Amino acid sequence: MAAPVYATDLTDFWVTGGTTTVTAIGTGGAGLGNPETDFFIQSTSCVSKAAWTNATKGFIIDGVAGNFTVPTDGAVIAFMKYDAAGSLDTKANGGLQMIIGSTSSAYYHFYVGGKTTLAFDSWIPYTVDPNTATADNTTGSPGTNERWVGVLATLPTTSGPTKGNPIAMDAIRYGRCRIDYTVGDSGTPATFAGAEAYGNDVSRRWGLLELLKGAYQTQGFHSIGTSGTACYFSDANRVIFIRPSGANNVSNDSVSNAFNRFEIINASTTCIWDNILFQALGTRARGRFYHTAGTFTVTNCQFVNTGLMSLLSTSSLTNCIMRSSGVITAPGSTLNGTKILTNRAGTNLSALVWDVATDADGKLDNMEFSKGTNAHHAITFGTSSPTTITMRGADFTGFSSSNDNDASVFKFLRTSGNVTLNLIGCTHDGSGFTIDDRAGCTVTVVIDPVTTSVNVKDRNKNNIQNARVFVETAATATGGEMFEAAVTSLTQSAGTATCTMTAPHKLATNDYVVIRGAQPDGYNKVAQVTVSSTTVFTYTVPSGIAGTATGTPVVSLVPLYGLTDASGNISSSKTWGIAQDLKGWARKKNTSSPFYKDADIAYTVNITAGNTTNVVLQPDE
Amino acid sequence: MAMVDGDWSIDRATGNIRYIGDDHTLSGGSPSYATVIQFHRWLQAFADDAEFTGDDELDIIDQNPSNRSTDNIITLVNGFNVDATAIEHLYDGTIIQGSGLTEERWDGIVNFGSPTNHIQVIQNGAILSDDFWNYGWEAGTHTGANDASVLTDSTLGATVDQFVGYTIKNITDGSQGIITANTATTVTATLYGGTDNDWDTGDVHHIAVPLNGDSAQGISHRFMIKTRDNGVDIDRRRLIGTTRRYGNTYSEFKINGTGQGNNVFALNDSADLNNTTPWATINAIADITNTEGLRLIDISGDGSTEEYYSEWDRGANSINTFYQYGKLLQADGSVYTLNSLNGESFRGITHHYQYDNETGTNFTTNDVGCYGTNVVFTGGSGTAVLGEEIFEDSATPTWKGRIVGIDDNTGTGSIIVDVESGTVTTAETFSTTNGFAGTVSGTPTAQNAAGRLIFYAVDDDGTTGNMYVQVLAGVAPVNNTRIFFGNATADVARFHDVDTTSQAVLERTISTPFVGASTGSALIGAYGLGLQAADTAAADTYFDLSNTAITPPNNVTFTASGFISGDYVLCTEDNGGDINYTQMALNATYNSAGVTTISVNAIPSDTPSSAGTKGGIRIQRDNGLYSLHRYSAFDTGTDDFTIPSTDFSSNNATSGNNVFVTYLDLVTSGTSENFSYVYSSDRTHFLRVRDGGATPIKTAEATGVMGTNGGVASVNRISDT
Repeated sequence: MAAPVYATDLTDFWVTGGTTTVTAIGTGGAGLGNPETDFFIQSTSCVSKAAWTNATKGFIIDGVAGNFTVPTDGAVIAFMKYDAAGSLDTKANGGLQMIIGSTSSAYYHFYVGGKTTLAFDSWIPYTVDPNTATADNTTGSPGTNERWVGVLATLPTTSGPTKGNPIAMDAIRYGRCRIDYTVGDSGTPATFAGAEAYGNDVSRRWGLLELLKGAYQTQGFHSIGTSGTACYFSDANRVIFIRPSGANNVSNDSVSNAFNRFEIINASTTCIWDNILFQALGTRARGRFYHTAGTFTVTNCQFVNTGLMSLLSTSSLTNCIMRSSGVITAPGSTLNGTKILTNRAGTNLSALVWDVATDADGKLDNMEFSKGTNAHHAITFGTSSPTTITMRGADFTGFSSSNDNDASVFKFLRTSGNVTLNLIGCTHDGSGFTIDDRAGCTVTVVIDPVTTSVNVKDRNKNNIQNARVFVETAATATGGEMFEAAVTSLTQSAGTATCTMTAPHKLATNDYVVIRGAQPDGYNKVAQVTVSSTTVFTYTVPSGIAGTATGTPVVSLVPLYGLTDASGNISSSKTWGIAQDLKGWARKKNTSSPFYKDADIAYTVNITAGNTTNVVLQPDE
Repeated sequence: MAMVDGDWSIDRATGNIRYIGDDHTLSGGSPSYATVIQFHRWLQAFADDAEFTGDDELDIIDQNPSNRSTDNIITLVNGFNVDATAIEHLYDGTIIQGSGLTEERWDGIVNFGSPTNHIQVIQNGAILSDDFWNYGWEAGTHTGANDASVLTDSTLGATVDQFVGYTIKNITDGSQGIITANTATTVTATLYGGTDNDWDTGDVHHIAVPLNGDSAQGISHRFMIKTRDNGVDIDRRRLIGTTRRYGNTYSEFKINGTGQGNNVFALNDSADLNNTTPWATINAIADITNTEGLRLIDISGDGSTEEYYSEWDRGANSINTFYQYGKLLQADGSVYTLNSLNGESFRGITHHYQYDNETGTNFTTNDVGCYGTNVVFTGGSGTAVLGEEIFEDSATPTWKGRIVGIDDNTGTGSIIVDVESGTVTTAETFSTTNGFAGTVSGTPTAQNAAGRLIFYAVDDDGTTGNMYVQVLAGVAPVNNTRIFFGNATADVARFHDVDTTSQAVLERTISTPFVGASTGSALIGAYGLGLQAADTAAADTYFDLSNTAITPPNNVTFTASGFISGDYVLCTEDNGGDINYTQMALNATYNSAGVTTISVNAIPSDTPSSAGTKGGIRIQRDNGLYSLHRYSAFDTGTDDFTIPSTDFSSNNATSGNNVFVTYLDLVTSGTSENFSYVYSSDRTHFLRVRDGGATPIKTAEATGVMGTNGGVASVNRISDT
C-alpha cells in the first residue's frame, strides 16, 4: 500500500491570525487589535473589522514583511467574507474588494463580490493574479512589487451594519495554486476527495478544492503526478465545479486563462476518471486539461464549459460528453462514444484536432459533434494525418452544408496528396459531410464504405508479399458500379486520356478502373482516375499514342488493385449500393523458384460487412 | 535458349502470341527458341505487371494466359493462342490451346540420335511438308562462281569439318547433299535432286543443323508437331519419323499416339557403305522396272511360285544397284511414285489380313480402302473434305471425329468416320469444319477400328481372299471391320469384311528402305518384295507374302571351251575320265512307239531344267547303243523325263538299262558352250570333243568341276592330220 500524498505549492502569506502587520483602512479600525476568534476559516482566528455606512473600509496586511511574487498563471488566494451581504454595495461598485499593493497606502482594488454575489455565501477563497488582473481601482501609486494584501468593503449610503466586524479575511497565500497528487496505488489511489479532505483541513485551507453540498468546487492547478513523482489517481462519481476564478474583478480577468488546469504528469502516472462532471462556472480560466505523460483513462465523464483539452495518443476518453468545451487536441487518442457538443472552437477552427499519421478508425467511433456558436468545424485533420481515414458511427449536427466553409464538417490541412475519408455508418443533420480542404490536396469522402480485403498465402500458409491483386466488377448490376460500361469518346493529349462515358460513371477521384477494347492498346490499362464530371474522367496514358481511341472501349470498376503488403494483405474501402459480383485474380511473379500459379478471385460484395477473401497461390513448378 | 522479348509479341485484343523474330531460313538472322516452360514463365512474368510495355500487351488486367500442368505441358487459356510459326520456336513439351471444337494441341518430339540426323515426319499418311525442325542454322548465300561444285560462303564462319555429316540444301535449285567436308568458308557435298545440282552465285544455302539439339544428352532434335486440330486428334496423334537421306542408312520410328509432353523418336542414320553410287548415276537408270500387285514368282527355284506384291526387273544392273535405286525412290524429296504413293510416304506392306463377304467389284492393286463408322446421311449440303473434322451439330457435340471416306457429297450418301468420341445416332444433324452438313439417316454400327489403307497385293479367291496393305492412317482393321472402297470417291457398295477366323490380322515388319538390306552383292529383301527370278541370286534372301524366307537357287554355269565350230561337243558326268554311263537307270521298259515319258531311278536335282537344243539324256537301247533325247522337262518327284515322242518298238530299252545326262551334246557353232543348273553339290563333268571332218582332230577330253561358282573345262584341240 502506498498512500497518496497531497501537497501544494502555495506559500503562506498570512494564516496565523492577529493584527501585528495589519493596517486598518478607513475608520472603525478598533477591531483590528483583537484577533477574531469568533469566526475564522483556518486555524483559530482571523482578522476582522467593523463596517460603516456610506464608507469603504477594511484592512491591509503586510503578511511576509517583504515583497512576494506570484508565479506565472498563479494568484494570491485568500478567504474573505462579509457577513452582512445585504448591506454591501454591488460588486460593480466595489462591494467587496481584494486589495494588493506595494504599501499600505498604495494598492490595487479588485472587486471580487457584492451584495448579490454573497447572498448565500460565507468564506470564499478569492484568487487574484496581480500580474494578470485589471485593477478595478487604485489607491495611491502602487509600485511594481507586491507586499500588502487586504480587503475592503464598500457600503452604500443608507444601509449597513453598525455593529460587529462583518469584514474578515483569513488564510492568505500565494503561488501557482497547485495541488500535487503523488504516490498512491490501485488500492489506495489519490482522489479528489482525498485532496479535498487534506487540503481543506482547518489547519490548511488551501482554498483550491472544497466539498460544498455534495459537489466540489475547485480552482488552480491539479497536478496528477509531478515531474519527479508519479501518482496513481482514480476517482469516480464526482461533481466538480471549477470556480469562476477569473471573475474576481470586474474585468473578469483576475487570473490568467491558464489558471485552472488539470494535468497528468509523469510517465508512470495513472489517472482514471469515471463518471465525473467537470463544469466551469466562469468564463475565464474554465479549466484546461493536459495529458502530457502517463496513462489517462476517462470514461463517462462530462466536461461542461471547460477549456481546451490536450491529449496524447494513449489518452482514452470514451463515452464522455464535452459540452461547450474548448478545443480538443487528440493526436491518435481514443474518443469512442464521446460527444463533443456546442464546442467553443473559434471561427474556422475545430472542436477536435487530429494531427497524427494514424487512421482514426477504431478511435473516433460513434462520436457526436454539434456546432457551437462560432463557425467552426467538427474535426481538423492536420498535415500529419494519414491519406486514408475511417470514421464509424459519428454524427454531425449544425455544421455548414457548404464545402470550403469555416463551418464545414471536416477540415484538412494537408497541402498535397489525395486523402480518402471513409465514413461508415455516420450521420448528419442534412447538411452533408462537408469538406474544407487546402489547395493541392484532394479529399474523397467515401460514405459507408466496406473494406474489401484479400490475403494471399502460399500453400504452407505463409503470407506472400508483393503479389499483385486485381479485382474488377464481374457483371452488370442494376444500380451497381460500372461493368464494361460504354464509352462515348476516349482521347488523349500529352499523356492524359479523357474518357467520356455514356452514362454516369459513379467514380471518385483516385478510384481505379480498367479500360479494355480500345485501340491503340495504350489506352487499355488499370487506371487511377481523376474525375472531371459525372461522366468524364481522366487518366494517364503514353503520350505517343493516337489522339483518339478506336475500337470499342469499355470500362469496369476496379475496387481492389495493387501489391500485397508484408502480411500478404491488400484492402480498399468503398461504398457499395448493391451486393455486386466481383472477379479477379492474384499473381506473383518470381524470376526463380518458387513460382506460383495464377489464382482466381470471385466474390459478391457484402455491402454492410465487407469481404475478406483468402487466396492461396499454389506452386507452379 | 530462352524467350527473347523482342522476338515475340502479344496482342491482348485477339490473344495472339506471335513469334516476330528471325525465321530459321533467314540469312544472317538470329532466330530464338525456348522451351514451353520458359514460354509459360515468360507469359506469367508479364501477367503480373502493372502495365504492359512495347508490343507485349499482357499485364494484370488480362486474364491468365497460361496454365502449367508440368514443365512440359502448358495450356494457353482465356483466348491466348500461338500459331504455327510460334510453335516452330518452342520445344520440349506440349502446348494446348482452345477448347471444344477449337482445341489445338502440339506435342513435343525429341529425337535421340546422331546430331547430323535429318528427320521427316509422316502424319495421317503424308509427309509433313515443312520440316522446319531440320534447320537450326542460319541460311547463307553462295558467294563463289557459277556452276561450282563446292559452296563458297564468305560469311560462313565455320570451323573445319564442323558440318560434316549434315545435309546442305541449295534452296535456290532444290538440290541437297550430305556434307563431306567444310572449311571456314566452303562446304563440300555432292548435290542431287535439284535443277543444276551445283552452286551458282547468289544461290541460297541452308545447312540442316537440327533445331534444339543437345549432343550431351544424345538428342539431335527437339520440336513440336500439331496433333490435334479443331477439337479432334489428327490421326489419333500417330506419327512416323523417318530418316531417308540418300547415301545414308534409312530408319523409321513410330509413335502410336503422342502423349502430352515429350515424345521420343529414336532415329539415326549413318553412311551406308552400299549406297555410295552418286545419285545422278542411279537416277539415270532406265532399265529397272516394276510390276505392281500380286505376283507369283518362283524365286525359290523349286518349280512352285511364291506370292509377292511386286516383281522388279533390275535390268542389267547389279543387285546392289537395284538396292540403291530403291533407296532413291524412297529418299527425302523423292519425286517418284511407288504403288501410287509418293516415295517419301511409301513404307511397304504393313498388314496382311484375310477377308470374306466381298461385295461389289473387288478391289485392285493400289486401290484405297477406308473403314470406320458408316454414317448414312440425307439432306447433305456443302462439300466434304477427306480428313476434315466432322461433329454432331451442337455447341457441345455428342460425337465428333474425322472423315476417312466420302461416298457422295451431296443430297444423300455416306461418310465414313473415325469417330473419336460419342455415338452417332439417327436423325442427328452434323457439320464439318469446311461446311459440309447433313442429317444422319439410321443409327450406324459403331466401329472399333477406323482408317485408310492401300492395297498392294490383292489375292482374290472369290468372295474371300487375302489383302496385303499399307495402313495409311488410323488403326489397323480388326475382325469384321468392313473395308469400303475408299478412293477419292468412295463406294460403300463395294466392300469386304476382315475375317480372322483362321488368321489374325498380321502386322508386318517395315524395312528401311523398302527394298530390304544390301550386303553389297546380295539382297535381303523386304517382306513381300519380289524380283523376277532371274534377277535373284542364291546369296539373296526374299520373303514372300507368307513371310517365308525364300532363298533363290544357285544357278551355276559350266563353260566348256577349247574347240571350234564344227566340233562335236559332249559333256557328261565324269566317271574317272570317262562318261558316267550309269548315272541313272531306266525304271521301266520301253518297247513301243510314241513314248514321251521316260522313268528313271533318281534324277539328280542339279539336272538342267530342260535340255534345250544343246543337251539331253542318252538312253541305252537293248542293242547297246545310246539314243539322244532332248527332254523338255523332268519331275524329280516321279523321276520322269519328258521327251519328244520316240518309237522304242524296234529297238527296245529295257528296264535297268543305263541313262545319263548329256549337258552338252551337239555340234558346236562356236568356240565355247555352257550349260546351267541349280547347284546342289560339286559335280565333275567329263568333256569330249571330236571332229572327223575336213580338219580332223584327235579325241580331246578334259574334266572340270561344277562348284558353287560354276565350272570350266577346256580341251586341247590336237590335229589328227
